[in-house]
Amino acid sequence: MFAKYLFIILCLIPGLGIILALIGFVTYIVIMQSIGLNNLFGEDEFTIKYWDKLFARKSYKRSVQYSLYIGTFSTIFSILIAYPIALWLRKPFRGSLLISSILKAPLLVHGLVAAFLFLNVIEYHGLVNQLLQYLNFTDQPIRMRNDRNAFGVLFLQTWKNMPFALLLLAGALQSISDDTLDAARDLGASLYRRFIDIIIPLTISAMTAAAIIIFIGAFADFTFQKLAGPRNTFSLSQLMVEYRGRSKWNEAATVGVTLIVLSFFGAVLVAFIINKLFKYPGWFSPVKMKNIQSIITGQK
Amino acid sequence: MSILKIKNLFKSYGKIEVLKNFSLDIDSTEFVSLLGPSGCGKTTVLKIISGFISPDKGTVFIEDIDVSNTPPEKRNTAMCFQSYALFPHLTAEDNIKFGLYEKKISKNKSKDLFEEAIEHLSLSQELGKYPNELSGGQQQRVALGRALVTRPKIILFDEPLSNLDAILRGTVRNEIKRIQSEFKLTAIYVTHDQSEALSISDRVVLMKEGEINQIDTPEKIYDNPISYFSASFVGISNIHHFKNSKKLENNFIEVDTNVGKLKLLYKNNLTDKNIYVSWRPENAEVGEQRENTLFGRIKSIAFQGAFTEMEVEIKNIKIKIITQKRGFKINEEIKFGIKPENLLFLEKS
Repeated sequence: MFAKYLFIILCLIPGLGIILALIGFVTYIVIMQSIGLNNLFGEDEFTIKYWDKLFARKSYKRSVQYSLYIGTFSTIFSILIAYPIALWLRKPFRGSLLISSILKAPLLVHGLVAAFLFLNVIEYHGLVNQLLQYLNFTDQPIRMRNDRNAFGVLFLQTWKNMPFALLLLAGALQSISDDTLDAARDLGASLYRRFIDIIIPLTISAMTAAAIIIFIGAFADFTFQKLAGPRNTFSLSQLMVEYRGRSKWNEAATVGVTLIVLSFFGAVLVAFIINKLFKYPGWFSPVKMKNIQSIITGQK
Repeated sequence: MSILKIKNLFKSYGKIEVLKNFSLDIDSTEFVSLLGPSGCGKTTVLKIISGFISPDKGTVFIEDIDVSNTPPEKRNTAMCFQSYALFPHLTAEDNIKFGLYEKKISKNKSKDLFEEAIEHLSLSQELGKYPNELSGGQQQRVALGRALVTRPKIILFDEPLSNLDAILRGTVRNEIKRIQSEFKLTAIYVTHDQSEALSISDRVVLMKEGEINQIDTPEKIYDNPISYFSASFVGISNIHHFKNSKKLENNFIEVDTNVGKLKLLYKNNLTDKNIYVSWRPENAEVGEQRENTLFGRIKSIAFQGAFTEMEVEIKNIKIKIITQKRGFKINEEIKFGIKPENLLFLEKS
């Protein structure tokens, strides 16, 4: 038995082992540095002073809030836009392959390039402002880049991540057979109920996977924030780079740990919420609503 | 009394005509099979009855109400799909209860209907399992339970046994028949398997190229096929083209075929449409010297236990014979006779 397990472990080491070792090593270093150990410079000394300092800073709190805001809304927008498109493209029609390919094009464009392209569009003298002035909607150009609410960043994140969500959701939707939907219809399910009780629950896995990956990516965003984000607020990644730039490795490590922990719990929360909302009978399901109604009214 | 009336259905997909003036009446509690080769339009008929497909022309009446424009969710029919189409994210219990929720049946009535269905289908052990944890036969029973729990007027089966192995197919087929009879359901059953259609149905509708070729009871379809198609599709037949016919006394007719002269008993008028004579292999009486005696050479022998199936060559024409006798050898000369009443005239198609 022991030989069998040893054999399995040896087989896994070249692939999974390296991945786990790299992740484990980086995580270990970051955690240790955040408590004053494994320092690059100076003596090692266990301390929580870096955490104390960080928690006392308003800029840190703002960064956490801002990163959560970007992560959450980028995820919501990406999936909200991708889902109806994936539904529309579920059944092949003339031109659907072309449309699908065009929509997935942002996956092939690097984030930095995309951000620069976007800047050209929303710049003070960019295409959008020129068009607005040409159409007499405004006399003066409008400030759209580095806006306070980070709409530019949200737009870029959605533009970049929506095709990824589309890829996963389209696959999940296409795997639902027509017979399954016909069976639901045959049993009396209306279009709304077929969507809520069959389609959505059968795409939960894809939706959760897309949401988690988009959330983690957008939550830890650096590129889009650096180029198009608000000037008065840092994202957590930006804050980490800022500390590192000032050779404050321990502070940078505390922000790094924050990123890891919040990414993990954020991902768990995203998965939990999606499952609670959409798993059959989800909160939007008439079956659930009927149960809630009967609890409220005391009817059996 | 007819529960379902289908009148003059036409349906085309592009240039392909799938249904050509298809009409059918089905009585309450009747079990009717639509039998035919792939592409003959039988599933299209089923999908028009259930409402998934709209006909180009024609009407469908359920209990004398025109439902041609009624969507499937509002028709009182239920379908058992070839793929079972169970909802993979729901347990067997939730699959069966799905229709009760969707059709807004009251809780007390739902409970009774559900329990009755479970009892009849012996599914109590499987209720908590997901479809991927069930065997093919269990999945089929859950699909059947889901379809019949809401007590539809008509239950539709789209080749429900095609994904099961041979042994299970027989068991589930008997179960379907038992349930249909216990619940007094009107059933329409699509299949391309003639043995399935013959064993389960009250009536068989034999279809070819979008049209009805023959409708009758299984026995009559087998014993009295009217066309080359029905004789060759349902069971095995030896079919011979004939040229000349000569009327004899006592309603006998003699015809010239490619295996020799054959004498038939024919009660109806012989028409121009009748250009073939046929007989079933099991009607050959090996070794008997009587009317319609033929001589041939055995080319192959397949012993099947209860009977022996042989291929016999007569004047370069190969025919099939089934006999309960044994002890034959390849290339042996054989003599057999066919009673005139076992020979039939067939139409071309």
